[in-house]
This record gives sequence, C-alpha cells and structure tokens, in this order.
Amino acid sequence: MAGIRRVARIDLEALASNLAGASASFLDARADAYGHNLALVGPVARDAGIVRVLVSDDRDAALASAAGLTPVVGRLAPPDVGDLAGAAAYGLESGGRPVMTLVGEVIAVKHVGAGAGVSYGYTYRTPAPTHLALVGLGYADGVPRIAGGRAHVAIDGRALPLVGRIAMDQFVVDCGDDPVGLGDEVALFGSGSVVPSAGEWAGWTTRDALAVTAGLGPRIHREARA
Amino acid sequence: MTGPTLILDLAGFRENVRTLAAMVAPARTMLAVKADAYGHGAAEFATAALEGGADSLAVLEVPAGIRLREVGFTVPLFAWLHGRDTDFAAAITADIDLGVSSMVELERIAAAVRTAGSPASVHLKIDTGLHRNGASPEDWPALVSAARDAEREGLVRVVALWSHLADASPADDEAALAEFRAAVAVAAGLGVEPPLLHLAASSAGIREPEARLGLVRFGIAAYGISPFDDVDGRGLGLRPVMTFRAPVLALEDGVAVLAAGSGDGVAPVTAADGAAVLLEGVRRPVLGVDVDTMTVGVDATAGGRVTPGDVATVFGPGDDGEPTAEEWAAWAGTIGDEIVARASRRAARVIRR
Repeated sequence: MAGIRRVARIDLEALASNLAGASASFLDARADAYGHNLALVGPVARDAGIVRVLVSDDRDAALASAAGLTPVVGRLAPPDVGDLAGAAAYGLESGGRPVMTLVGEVIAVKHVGAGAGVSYGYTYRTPAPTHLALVGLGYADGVPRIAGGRAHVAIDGRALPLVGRIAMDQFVVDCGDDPVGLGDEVALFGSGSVVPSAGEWAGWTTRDALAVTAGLGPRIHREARA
Repeated sequence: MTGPTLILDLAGFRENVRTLAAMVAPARTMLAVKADAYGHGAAEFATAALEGGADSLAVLEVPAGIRLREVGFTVPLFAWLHGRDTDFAAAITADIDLGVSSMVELERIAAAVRTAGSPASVHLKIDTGLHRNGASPEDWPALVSAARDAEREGLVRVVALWSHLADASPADDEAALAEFRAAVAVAAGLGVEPPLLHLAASSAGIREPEARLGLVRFGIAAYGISPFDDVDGRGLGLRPVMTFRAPVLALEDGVAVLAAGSGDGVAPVTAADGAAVLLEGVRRPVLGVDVDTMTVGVDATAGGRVTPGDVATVFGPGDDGEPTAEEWAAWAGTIGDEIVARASRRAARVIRR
C-alpha cells in the first residue's frame, strides 16, 4: 500500500566490500543486523565469507539459518567471539562504505516571511523570508527528537538544516531562497553528495552510530539498493 | 524470558479516554492511534478508544487507515499526511476522511474521485503558525474556493475546517485560535461552512476550553503521558499505560546486565543523566546502554537481593517507585511521547484488559 516514502536503502555491494576488507568469519548482526535487515544482509555476508552470526533472538536466528549461516543466539555476546565484525561491516567507521542510506520525502513546501515560528514550541524562528520543507519522518521512525536544530539533511545535492522540534511523524527543513520540490527525496544519512554520515547523527544525538541504525522504526521500509 | 516485555494497560487507557472525553464534552473526541498507537498497538488501542468514548480515529496516513478498515473498524478515520505516492482512490474507497493542505492535494484527490467513483470527505487545513502543513493564509481563499467548486461538482464533501497548535505558549495558542477563527470567517464568506471545526490536541483540549470547538484530537494524554512540562500524567489524573520490563541476564561484580537496549528503544542515557530502573524494590543506576542490553549497578549496600532472572522495571506507571516514561524523557532531553513511541517491536507484549 503506497503511502509516505520512508526507506532505508541497503547497499549490498558496500556490505560485501566492507566484509572483504574485514576478513572476519563472525558477524555481529544483533537487532536485525542493526536495523539493516538480516534477510537482506545474511546471504551477502555468507558469500563474503561469514560463517557465524550473532543474533538477538529466535526470529533472527531463523533468518540467519535460512541464509546458510550458523546463528549464535543471545543478547549477551559470548566470551569467545574472536574476530567479530560489527560497525565496520556496516560502514559505520571512518573509511568504510556506508551500507544504509535513510531517505524520506518532501511532503509539503511553503514560503514564509522572516520571524515565522517552526514546529512545536517555536524553538526556531526563520531569520529571513525562506522556504520550509516538511519531511515525513519523525521520532516514531527513530529519528531522535534531540536532533532538531542540530542535524542537517541532503535534498537534491544541497545540505540543509533540520530546524525546530522533530515531531512524531515529521520534521521541517529550512531551504532558503531556492525551494525544493514536492516529493523530492531527502537523505538523512548514508551515501551521496553532501549526505551526512550515521556517525554525524550519532554525534548530534549522543549515541553511537550502531544505535542510530538499530533504532529505526517499523514504518521504514528496508530495500536493497538497486 | 530472555528479552523485554511491554505490559500494556488497556483498561487504564480506556479509562483515560473516558476521562478526557468527559472533560471536553459536548465536543467530540477523536483518538490518535497514529504510529501504531504511539507504539502501543493500533488495532487493540483503537478498539479501547472507541469503548472509552472516542467516536473517530486519527491515523495520520492512508495505509494506516486502510489497515484498520481491513480489520473491521467502521468509525470515521482521519488521515492528513500524504506523500507523492499516496493512493487517494484507495482512501476514498475505504471511506477515509482526508486532510487537505494544498491545491495539489485537492487536485489529486479530485482526480482520484473519478477513479473511486464516490466523493471524498475532506477536512481543509489552515496553517495557524506551526508552519508544517496547512495552507498559508494567503493561499487559503483559493483552496477554499476550489474545494467549494469541487463540492458543487460532486467530487468532495467539505466536512471540516481544522488546524494544529504549536503549544508554544498560551499567548501563541490564543493568536493561533484567532487566526483559525479568521480563516473560518474567510471560508464562510466564500460559502464554505462545514459542520465541524477542530483545532485542539491533548494540550489545548485539557487547558484551553475555547479551543475545543467541535472535536478534540486527543493523543498522548490518552496514553497517560502529560502534554505539559509542569505536571505529569498522574498529576492530570491519567494512568500511564505502558510498562517496560527486562530480566536480569547476568550478574557480576555488582553489575547486573538487563535484556533491553537501544535496539528496544531504551534511550542512551546513564546515571550521569539521572537514569535508573527499579530492580528488587530499589532504584538502580543505569551504567550503560548497548544495543541489546543495559547495565545497572546493584551495590549490595543499596538493599534488595538481585539474582539472574529477576525482572527490572525500566519504566511504568510509578506505582511501586519505578521510573515513569516521563522521567526517562527528562533524563534523555525529550518528551514521554518519544520514549513510548520508540518502544520495541520485538518485545513480548502482555495486554491487561
């Protein structure tokens, strides 16, 4: 059923490349491969030489088995993990290729004058006449509310600030003089020109990058990058 | 039990809805079950909302409304956030009321009506200062006029005019209410006078009687969390609905490892921010939060005896001294809405009816 687009694109080539560089045989895939979708990640990991995967629960263990991997189930990592590939596999450490790109869409654009309050509490007021874009992702999707006023996003190759409070289902971007288009794709983090990294989001939201991706919600559709 | 459990007090929720609906009557109560009922579970909570006195449901977006129709809900459903690919014909076929903020949306809905074969019920939205969606005042007369014309053609029924408040301050909300009334007057001047006006959500529904108008869209308050920062849910006479519990997986050197982490929605805060959980009758400091686990200090001098398999309450209604979601929100620099909305989809769920 088509609705508002909320997509985590999973770059399986980047995953394979990161794993080839890591030369590990054991992958940390807890929390549904840290939100990357174990059903997508599993087969690629196996082809890249991964033999065992650490998973959180029986559901994910079944996904791992289906991909031809040996699951190790448990919220506590066993003491003998050895060369466990984690953040680097997902491209969440410097130098790695980001595997996940999180995108939303512009669902409204409006022109406002200077001094316009934005979102709850009017914590941001436009310093000058500008265009505001509404994006259909919010904290229910795992975009941390404390990123309001700190983060930026990329729309059509432009880095633009996320302003005002993030709401449950939506946030606002200040686009300046040049408006963006209705339906335009908004990249929060991942790969692409001027797209922030999950690591930057980690800094804006005082958590680590794996917690950023693992915290993404169920309305976000995970799909393999074409 | 190897993972967290959410205990959902459906009876408490129903009672909250009853309290709120009675507070605002004769204004009607629409209950927001968007975002899977703020993480609580849409279908179960939609049923309880109606039992508690709501007569309609706010679902945010068309697919969420269609899912409720598919499981048998026949009450009015309201969806107001639409994307480029939103299927308006499916919405009209499912008899979902549509919020309309722009000419583009109105035109797309009118086009879908020709496919669906029946008129769409629309709520026209004016932006009264929040600057999210809603038509700007300068665009409002054109939107209202176009909707009126579409209604004369039999394409739409304008069933309501509405807006959303910023909750910035009483003065700001008063200004927004004045803007809303002005927009209603403009519409009346253009011959559009629908039977329903709605503006208030939980905050204004409770504290600003003049904003209740024909209907209040209650959300977070019904889940037992206050929309205000000067009083918590219990202080408003509401019952916090969600309890989040996690068992002790391991215990070593005065540190207990609990089976809940950031992957379950636990906010990444520690005792340095104030964070604590209730374990064996004592609030224990949170030492760290990993993806699947969190660690808490179990200093022997703090009292209580902790053994693996004991179950900690991360947050709950506060009856036994456990933290509330609102306390977690304060520790994490956010609001209780985020704490509950992010709660794990992989947790076991126990519904108390």
